[in-house]
Amino acid sequence: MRTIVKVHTPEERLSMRLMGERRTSQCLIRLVAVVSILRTLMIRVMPLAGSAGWWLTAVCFVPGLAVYGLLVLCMRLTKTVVLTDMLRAVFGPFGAWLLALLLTALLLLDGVASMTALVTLFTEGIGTEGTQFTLALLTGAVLAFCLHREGISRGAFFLRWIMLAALVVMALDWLSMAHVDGLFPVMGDGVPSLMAALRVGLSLSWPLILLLTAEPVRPGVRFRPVLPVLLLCFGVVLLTCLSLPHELLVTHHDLSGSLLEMTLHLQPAVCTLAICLLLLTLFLTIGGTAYLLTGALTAPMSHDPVWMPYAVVALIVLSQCLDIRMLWSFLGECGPWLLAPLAALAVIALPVALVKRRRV
Amino acid sequence: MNEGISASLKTSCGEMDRRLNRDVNPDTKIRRFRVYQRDAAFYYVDGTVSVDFLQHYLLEPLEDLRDQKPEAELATALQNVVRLTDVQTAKTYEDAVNHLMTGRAVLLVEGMACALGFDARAFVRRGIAPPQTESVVLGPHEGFNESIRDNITLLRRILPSPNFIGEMRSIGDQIPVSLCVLYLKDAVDEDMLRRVKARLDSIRTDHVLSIGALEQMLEDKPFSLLPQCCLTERPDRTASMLLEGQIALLLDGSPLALVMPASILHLLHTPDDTSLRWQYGTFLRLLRLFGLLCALLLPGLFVAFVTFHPEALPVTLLTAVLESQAEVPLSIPAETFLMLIMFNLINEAGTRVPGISGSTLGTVSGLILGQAAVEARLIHPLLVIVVAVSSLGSYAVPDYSLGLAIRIAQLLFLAAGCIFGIYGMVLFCAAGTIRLCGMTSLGSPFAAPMSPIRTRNPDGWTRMPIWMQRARIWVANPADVNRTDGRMRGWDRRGNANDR
Repeated sequence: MRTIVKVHTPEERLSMRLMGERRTSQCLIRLVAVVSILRTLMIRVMPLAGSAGWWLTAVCFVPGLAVYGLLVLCMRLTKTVVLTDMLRAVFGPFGAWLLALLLTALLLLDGVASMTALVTLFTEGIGTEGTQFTLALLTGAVLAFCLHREGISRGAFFLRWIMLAALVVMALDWLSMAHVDGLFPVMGDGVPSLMAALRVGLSLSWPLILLLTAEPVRPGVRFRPVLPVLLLCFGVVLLTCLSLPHELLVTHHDLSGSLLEMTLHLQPAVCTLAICLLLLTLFLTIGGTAYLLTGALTAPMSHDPVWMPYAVVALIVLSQCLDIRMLWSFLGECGPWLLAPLAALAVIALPVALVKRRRV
Repeated sequence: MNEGISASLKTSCGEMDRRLNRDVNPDTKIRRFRVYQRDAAFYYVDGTVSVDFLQHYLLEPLEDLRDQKPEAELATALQNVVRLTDVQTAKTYEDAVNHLMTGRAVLLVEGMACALGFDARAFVRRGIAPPQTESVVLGPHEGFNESIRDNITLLRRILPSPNFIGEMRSIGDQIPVSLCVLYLKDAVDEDMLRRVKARLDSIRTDHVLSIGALEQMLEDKPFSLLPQCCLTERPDRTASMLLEGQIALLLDGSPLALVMPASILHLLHTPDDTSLRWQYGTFLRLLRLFGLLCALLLPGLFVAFVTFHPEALPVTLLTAVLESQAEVPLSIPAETFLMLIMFNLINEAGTRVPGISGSTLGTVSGLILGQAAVEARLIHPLLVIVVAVSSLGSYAVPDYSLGLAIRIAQLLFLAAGCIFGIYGMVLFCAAGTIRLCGMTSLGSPFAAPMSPIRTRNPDGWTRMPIWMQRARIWVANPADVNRTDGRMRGWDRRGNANDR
């Protein structure tokens, strides 16, 4: 009847399928990274940098990229694919546990921040009645209902074009208010203010390291996944500088407050769309954080407890019992130092990896 | 229970009568006669075999046999004489009874320690009729009927290939029913096939009444709202899925094929999409998607906007809503719930009332109730439009099970919109999407090939030209991914279609 042209071997088919799954995981990590970076940028950096925000943001990416590069180099030296394996190869099981604890702490902070932002958006932005904890409980319950490992990453992957389309609509609306003056003066509010912004923003790109915790989509390709994250963040900042008066970029405690301020200038329908996008993104980010946190915690273990993601979500929900201002001030204090432990790890790991390679 | 058939006709008949409860069950008939100078008897179940057929092709040739035969040669000699194609030997009473129950006539002869089952089946069955729930404008108008044999024949006519395999088996421990596992060799994924067979083997039930019951025993996530297999009454659609490497199950007595694995896209596609040119197919698919979203979200969004986010609505629209709302005693969420419940009630009543009366009932109920409710100021007119549009959307969904799931989800989304406004809607949308993407059908991702991404044809949300559809589909992991050797439009190598 017909000739069979190409029969994929089971290995080839499995590899194609694994590539698809890895793409979904990378997509989720990128989403978490973008939200985390934007949070620091919008809340901390932009109010201080003002119209200099667009170039300062690019500068702030440099330390994160440097640490990322060092860790990739270590991985190449040790011929490992994921960060946990590299640290295990360099420091033994201790290294894997160290990374697990470090990422757990960082991701927990991130998860708490996202949940707080979501709840704040809910109570302040939309004006629905309910206490902070009740709404967090509702979000946690819905999250627990759909907490499925592959489900969250596949869901984020499924919704990526919808979210991007919503962002483009918002961007077009913002661009109608654009003024080139927003990019000048390049020194923003002056050198002291810029130095303060730089200090705050140095650690903002720590979430890029998360991309190393998952297997790359294609073996050996490590820098390409970083680009969309950086471009998206840079694009949003550029848009903000172009379209919004600097006076609007006042210090906010949370991402939702900051973005809500920005959405006020959009047309009503686009404003609603923006709020929906924000809600969706934050919800997926919390789910993603729980997923990544579980992954980080279970990476050094031999088994994968089923209850772990639920415990993580419960922990994030319980954090909302605390006073919200206290939470934000704590997160604010931690912010500038988030990259430091990862940088220290990379700096120590590199010579050890080199020595080990020579011995081999 | 698994007792061998006795060589003594008296003993055998006694045992058969006991097993068939002939003292109280007059359906089972016995006809005694002599063959090869021995006593013989054949059993049949009235109505399941053709009596004329038995008379001409079994009884008449046998009654003519007057010479003697040794006991050892009886079975072979009888099989050679009878002018029926399908003759099977039963060594035990259980097998003999099974033959009878599946419509065969069973012959017992004095001195023969086995029974012969002759295929003379003539069950009462419905003819081939157009499908009731999957009608198309362009395309074949044949639907499956309740006979598994007819259904396999319909499929064989579409797929005349030795690679089209139909493995017969039975399901049900106490009252078995025939089941056929259909697939295309080379196209099917062997792992999937093994998985289906293992699941079928592990089913423990006395009897399977319908293919829907079988679906519930085979699906991956029985608590999920969405169906995870595709039920179709169209042979052409089943054949199309078989070509994609999927596996179809046919059950005797069910006019539907159960196809698995399936993805959400299978539940949204119709056979029309392939028959029509790609532009029209794409347009219809996008229209259906719009209908699905309307059905799912429109009532919830309406309530959420009017109740929680009126600032997002145009002033004139908001004024109209609020003015009419002032004259209505019920709140907007209560009105919307009431309207949707009424709609579902009318729909259910229309489905149960036979034929033309059903559609008349639907029209009359919709028009009169809607008009009366607006005039009585029980609901405001805009809400009638919202509910009507969302209901139309739910009817645009081609799969009946998916349509029902959407109607339930519509109420859940409405509840979310009523309680938490846009926040609730977005939360439910995200949770629903995550659940959808986490679902599997026979272990294959339900949202594939969108998430995770898979090798595929340009035949998803849209329907791109058919000659581009050279790969097999995404869910089944087929052994042979390519459907064709080279270009489909081989003559159009340079894109020049002018015939000079």
